[in-house]
Amino acid sequence: MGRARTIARRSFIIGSAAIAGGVAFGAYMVRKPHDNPLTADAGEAVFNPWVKIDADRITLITPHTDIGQGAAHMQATLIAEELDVELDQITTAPGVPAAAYYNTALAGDAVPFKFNDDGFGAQTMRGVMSAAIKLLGAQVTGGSTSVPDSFDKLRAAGATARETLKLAAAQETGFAVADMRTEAGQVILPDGTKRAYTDLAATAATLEPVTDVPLRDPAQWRLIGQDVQRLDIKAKSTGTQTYGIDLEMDGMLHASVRMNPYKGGAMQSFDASGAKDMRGVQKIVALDGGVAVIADNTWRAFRALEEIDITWGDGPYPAQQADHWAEVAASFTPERLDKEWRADGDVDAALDGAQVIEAEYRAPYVAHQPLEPLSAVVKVGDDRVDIWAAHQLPRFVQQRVAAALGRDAEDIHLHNQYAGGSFGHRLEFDNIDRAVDVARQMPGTPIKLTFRREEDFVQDYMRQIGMARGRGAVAQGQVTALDLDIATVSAARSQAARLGQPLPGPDTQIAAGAWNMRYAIPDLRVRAYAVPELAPTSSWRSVGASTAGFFAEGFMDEVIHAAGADPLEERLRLANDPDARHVLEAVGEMSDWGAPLAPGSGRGVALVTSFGVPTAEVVEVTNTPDGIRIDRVWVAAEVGRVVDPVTFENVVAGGVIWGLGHAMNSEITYDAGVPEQTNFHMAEGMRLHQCPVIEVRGLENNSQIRGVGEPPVPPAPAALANAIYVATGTRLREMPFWNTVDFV
Amino acid sequence: MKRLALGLGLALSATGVLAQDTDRDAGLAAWADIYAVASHPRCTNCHVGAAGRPGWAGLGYGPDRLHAMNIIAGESRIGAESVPCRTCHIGAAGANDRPHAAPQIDDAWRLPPVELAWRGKSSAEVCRQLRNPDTNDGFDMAALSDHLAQSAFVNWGFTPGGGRDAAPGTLAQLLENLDIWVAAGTPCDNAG
Repeated sequence: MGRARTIARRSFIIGSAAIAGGVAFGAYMVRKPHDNPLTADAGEAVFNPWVKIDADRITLITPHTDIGQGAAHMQATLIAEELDVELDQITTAPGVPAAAYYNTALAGDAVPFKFNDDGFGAQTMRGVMSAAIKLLGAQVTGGSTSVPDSFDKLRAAGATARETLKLAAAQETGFAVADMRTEAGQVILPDGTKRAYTDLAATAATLEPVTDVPLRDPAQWRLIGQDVQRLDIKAKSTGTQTYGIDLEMDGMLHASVRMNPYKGGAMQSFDASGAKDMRGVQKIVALDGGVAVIADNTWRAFRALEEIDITWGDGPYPAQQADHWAEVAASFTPERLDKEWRADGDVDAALDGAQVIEAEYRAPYVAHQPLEPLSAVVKVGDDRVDIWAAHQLPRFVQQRVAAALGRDAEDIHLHNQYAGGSFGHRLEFDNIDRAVDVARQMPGTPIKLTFRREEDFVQDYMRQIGMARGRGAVAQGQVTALDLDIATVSAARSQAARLGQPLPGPDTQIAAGAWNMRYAIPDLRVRAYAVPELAPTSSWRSVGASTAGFFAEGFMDEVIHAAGADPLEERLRLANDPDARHVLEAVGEMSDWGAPLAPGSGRGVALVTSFGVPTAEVVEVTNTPDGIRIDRVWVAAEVGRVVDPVTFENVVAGGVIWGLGHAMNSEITYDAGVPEQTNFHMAEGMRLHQCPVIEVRGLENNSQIRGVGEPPVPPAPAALANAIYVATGTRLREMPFWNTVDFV
Repeated sequence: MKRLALGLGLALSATGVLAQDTDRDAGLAAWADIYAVASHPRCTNCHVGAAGRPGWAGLGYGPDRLHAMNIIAGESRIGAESVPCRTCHIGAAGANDRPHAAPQIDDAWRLPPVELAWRGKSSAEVCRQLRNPDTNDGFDMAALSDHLAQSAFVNWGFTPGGGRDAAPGTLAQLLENLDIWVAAGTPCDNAG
């Protein structure tokens, strides 16, 4: 923990400001002349807050968006650990969008270097990227960075608040700070008297805050690493958790939209005569590229939309799915080489004259399909615009809406909400943009825009479509050479273009999870090819690794089988770093790898590193008369530190289910430019009865704290395909697998 | 008209006069069309065995497969032991225009009796099963015809709505084929 202490001393100072008799504590990077001052609601003098205490309550600000991953709970836990409050003593709030909440952990995976590469080039690029992110004030929830971004600085925020409260108690009582301790939201004085933080707030607000606070040794932690009941579990278990889509306001109207499903195409004309007199319909609004209905409730808006005849214009990408695939297949050319990421040994020489194993892999477009469809409430007022929506990029929302309405960013107030899932969907802006388009037509009225599920699917920006071509060679029962060419459209460029952000250099995500494979194969080459933009794409949980990880570990398994080697033993033999070996050993032990299996059963293993987390999974399946049954999954991930074991297990298991479910049955195909799958019955993920028993283990050997939202996803499809091969002899090289095998 | 034709066919076949003269090939051809209906997923989804697990098919559901949500109709065949079919298939005739909504008919949703299970069976197996009251839930041919004509399930199978695949042909054609098959003496292809 020496590193954390150093950071706390070097990089953080305390900010404090009076808030209606209370005090706000925070920490922010010292050397940041370009950081904007904090935004605040009218009448509040708040800046950089993570801890807010007034005479009534202790409020912890949790600016990472909670999209179901437990971010609010995690952030509160880290602050509470050092603040010495119990979780039932506090309330949490997402705070306002602020540059001070820029993501300090985002740079690591945004540069084309392995996360553990400490070379000059890697460090320089990370520095440049960090500076850019800081300058942008990029408050981002994504890239599995919420924990690494929060781990040091939120504990520091809690510690500084605690020490300042002790100082306030000293001033009020005359006792020495050194003789005080804190517990459960109180300062305990030497005579045993207890002073509640809330009672000390007014005095604390008048003090110069304590600036140099060492963080506690992990041996003293009360909350981190313990089974602590998650803050939102009661509300979620009882159905009382409110999400953005649940909001109700006085005078609110409800809207829904139909936009051109051939994304990017125009709306040529529409006839709303069949809808305008329908019950509850208040207004029908033409938008750029679509139409909206404002009604007195959501359902009536939905139904009215269906009665509008619309003529759509064509979009800018191939109309038929086959043409998408043809473009991908034509992309393995020198002109489209994005980067040769890995060139160990001499692959060409190794394959020349060898008996070459060859295979082609494919991954389709898939939608994000969160259970809560996109929504947003917007109220356009004379001097302020209020937006209630769940978004992973709060400050970008502010800036975007300000630009759209010709107002100052300070006048745009985003009230970030809990999200019923995102998986990357809430990094896009369609719900915000459309809600603003509609609400500006009725100033002063809060309007809730809710996308129909079908609209949510069709207007989504899909996961990148891609293919891989692999060649491999074996000798004496070992893998000796592997050559992997991966071609996908660049989701990063597609997304960045919509944000108006340049994206220099190669796309790190095309071959993510493949080029950084932790194997010492003597002759190993991984090349990424960028397919020109087709249908627009976006970050999808685990991004590039969700496709390239499948390609790499599926093909790797083929080559291992061709060598006649054991899939786990050979991976262990090739593993070139301790973390990779540890996670493989862990799943081997957990699954009792090598133990005899029932007839018709098979096991597959896969190891993929994404977002700095080497994650190994073993999947066990049984080939039943009705189809493949997925029985059990074992997962081990090296994350440096598990903040909350229960949440960790749930997030990892959720990632496995997500990865398996999509590998089984989800794809988006285009016909006449339009997605053919429009609801869960056509892309359903995993059903409850299909869910295997999942056993999770978090390893804490590495000094780097890592997030685990995405890393459990990429190994799942490969481990499943590898298990099905063992059980059936059928090698699955193309997702979704249900096009080839049945699942029960 | 077809009720009359069936009555006539049954009467005549009962006398043993016309049946022998009826073209067996025509009967077998009619049976082939009946089997095309019986073996269609729209029908086999429910004509399942003792496991009581209905199937799902069509509408982008991918390959014909077991009903999702782990639905088991149980020995009761109505799901009484776990989740009643009526939890979702609420039992009133619906417009059935929402592909992802549970379809509704004007009857209590349930699986047919186990004796009428024919999912996965060959044409000849189903044929012999269907003409024998011991294995067809006690129907004589007239009652079977009435059942097909009146069953809300069978009707729905031809007009499932919401973009679902319908059973091939029409209900009228099915009944007509049944008449021909019965008039021909319910022949079954021995090859199966």
